[in-house]
Amino acid sequence: MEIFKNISAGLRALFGRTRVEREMDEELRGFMDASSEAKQRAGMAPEAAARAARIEMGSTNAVKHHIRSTGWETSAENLWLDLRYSLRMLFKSPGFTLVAILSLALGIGANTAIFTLVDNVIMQQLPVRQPGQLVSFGKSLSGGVLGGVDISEFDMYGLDFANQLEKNPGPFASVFSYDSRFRRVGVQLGEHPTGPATQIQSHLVSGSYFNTLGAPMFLGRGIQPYDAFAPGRTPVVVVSYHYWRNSLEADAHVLGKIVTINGVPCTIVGVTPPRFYGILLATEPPDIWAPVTMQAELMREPSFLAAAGPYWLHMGARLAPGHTLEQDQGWLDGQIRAYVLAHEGGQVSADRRAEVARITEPLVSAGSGVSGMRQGFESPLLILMCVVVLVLLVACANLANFLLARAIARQREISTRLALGSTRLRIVRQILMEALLLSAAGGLCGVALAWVAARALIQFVAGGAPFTSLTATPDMRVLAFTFGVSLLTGLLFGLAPALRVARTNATPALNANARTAVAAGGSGARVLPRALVIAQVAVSVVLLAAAGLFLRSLANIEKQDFGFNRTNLLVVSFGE
Amino acid sequence: MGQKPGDMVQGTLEMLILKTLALEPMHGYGMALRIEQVSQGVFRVNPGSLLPALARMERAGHVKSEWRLSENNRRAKFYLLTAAGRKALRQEAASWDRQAAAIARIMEA
Repeated sequence: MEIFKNISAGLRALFGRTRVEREMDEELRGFMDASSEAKQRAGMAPEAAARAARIEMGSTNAVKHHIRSTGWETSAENLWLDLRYSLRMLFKSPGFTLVAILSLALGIGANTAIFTLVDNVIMQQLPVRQPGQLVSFGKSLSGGVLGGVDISEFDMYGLDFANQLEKNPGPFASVFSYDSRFRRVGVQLGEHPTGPATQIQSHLVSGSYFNTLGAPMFLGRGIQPYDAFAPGRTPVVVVSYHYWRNSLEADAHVLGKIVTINGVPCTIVGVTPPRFYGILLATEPPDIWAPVTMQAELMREPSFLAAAGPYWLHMGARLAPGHTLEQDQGWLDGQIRAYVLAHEGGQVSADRRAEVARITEPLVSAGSGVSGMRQGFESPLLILMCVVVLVLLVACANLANFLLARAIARQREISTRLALGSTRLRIVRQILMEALLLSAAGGLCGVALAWVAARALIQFVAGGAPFTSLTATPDMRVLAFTFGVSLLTGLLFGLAPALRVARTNATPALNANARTAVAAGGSGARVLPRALVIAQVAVSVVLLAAAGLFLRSLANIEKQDFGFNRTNLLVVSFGE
Repeated sequence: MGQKPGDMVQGTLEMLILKTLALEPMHGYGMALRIEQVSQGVFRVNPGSLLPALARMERAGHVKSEWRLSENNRRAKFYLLTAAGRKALRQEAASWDRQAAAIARIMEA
């Protein structure tokens, strides 16, 4: 209750300043009159009594100032005044302000752009229910068809093992499997289509894939277990949000419509939510999902679904609540080893048994998906992150020097303020405020710059794919990162001049002849600016040299001689 | 003989004000006079300390103020003790007694 009364009293004081002043004046005058009357009654002459009363009180302005500063609204008012003052000071030197904001925008923008990529490729979780519970069997990075080795080699499995585990998931909440690679298919709209087919990415998944991932479908349903019970029987597909918007014109009645995939008519039963790309992440995400049992019909190839067929699936699972990877690892290894031994045929030698006993398939946390992209880009992105941090530090050092010079030039102003009775804290706070305003403005411009830069980077990384799962649009995490970086940057380069002010003496600069910017701190004060410049030059030279070498290497790779004429050559692939 | 009012700790001044107001509502000068009289001149509070202290206590909700007519028919700002102020007075008084007793024990030892 008291807090509200305090707040409302403060607001009333803020907006009723004249009334408050009047009341204070009246109270002080009343006090002085009462005191002087008491002294007169004690025998003093009227003028002497009045004078004595005034001396006892001291400066009316000082008393009023003390009374006023008991409320929170004075600090708020001071903050507001300091803000306006800082803005005025920054606008007074527009050239400096512009250059500062620009260099900050570049530094902060570069950091944000790289962080956007890091967020997309490394950090982002799948848009599914409780992604932390998802695991994949092994890193699952290679794709294709495999035979002649033990199951779980290269994290590849056959359909019968996948079905076995799906029916009896053991300690897992549920198990699913999916084609180890995306397949390009030709798609036409309608049941008896005429005209050419468009090529899209497709993905074959098991019946428990969508249920286990648990993403809320945008329309309809996902592939269900009853869609994958027998080969070739259920031509149903789920389309992606992106495909639904672009190629199906966001038709609200799309469920039940037919699309022809590689000549096979299939019924659309669901649309995935936006930004859902499944668990396998690649630069070009799938637009359509079909049951694994449709493999032979849709892909127009021999069936992989026989009991002793090839290995072509990766697998994953969702942990039961409270379970950990280590707990369920043993069960999975047991299942794999049992399967291998069961399919050995004939006598199994002791050596072979020992070999089988060593088979293990590490469970890998898959909350941010299974991504070949991450494997490829993790190190380069982290290196780039370090580089842009260095660039930002160079910009900070530059600005610190600038602000230091400005603080020295404003020596007289600061000394005057100190002499008039301002606290050092207030002046230091105002200088930090200038720095923070600059970095906030730089951060805002930086976000815009980062968006442009991130888009260009994604284009480069995706290598010309028409649509990719990477997005340059900043999400909460990226914006929080930018805000944090701006704040730290402002504090970093505002610190040097602020500390210098804190050590200023009030008197020397007020001397009549002190028009020049005297380094009142002695030779010690000249060390910091020089150190900053040296550091800047050193880091810049290193970065420039590295950049130059990288560019030369890139150019050399482009111009590499392969021993044949590469002009006017095209690479074309027909079907699969 | 009056000590410099600055020698009194800020917390003590607030406690003395609360006690003075517990008897009856007063305006600023009345309080200063009462404190000086009852302390027999040991404490002389000047308006530079008294009025900010009163403003602080008003923000904390321990006193509230009203404009009334003083004894010589002049408009003056009177301060009254609130319920919260009474409670604060009890707490401050108890704490002061504890401190005084502790100091006395140390000085006697």
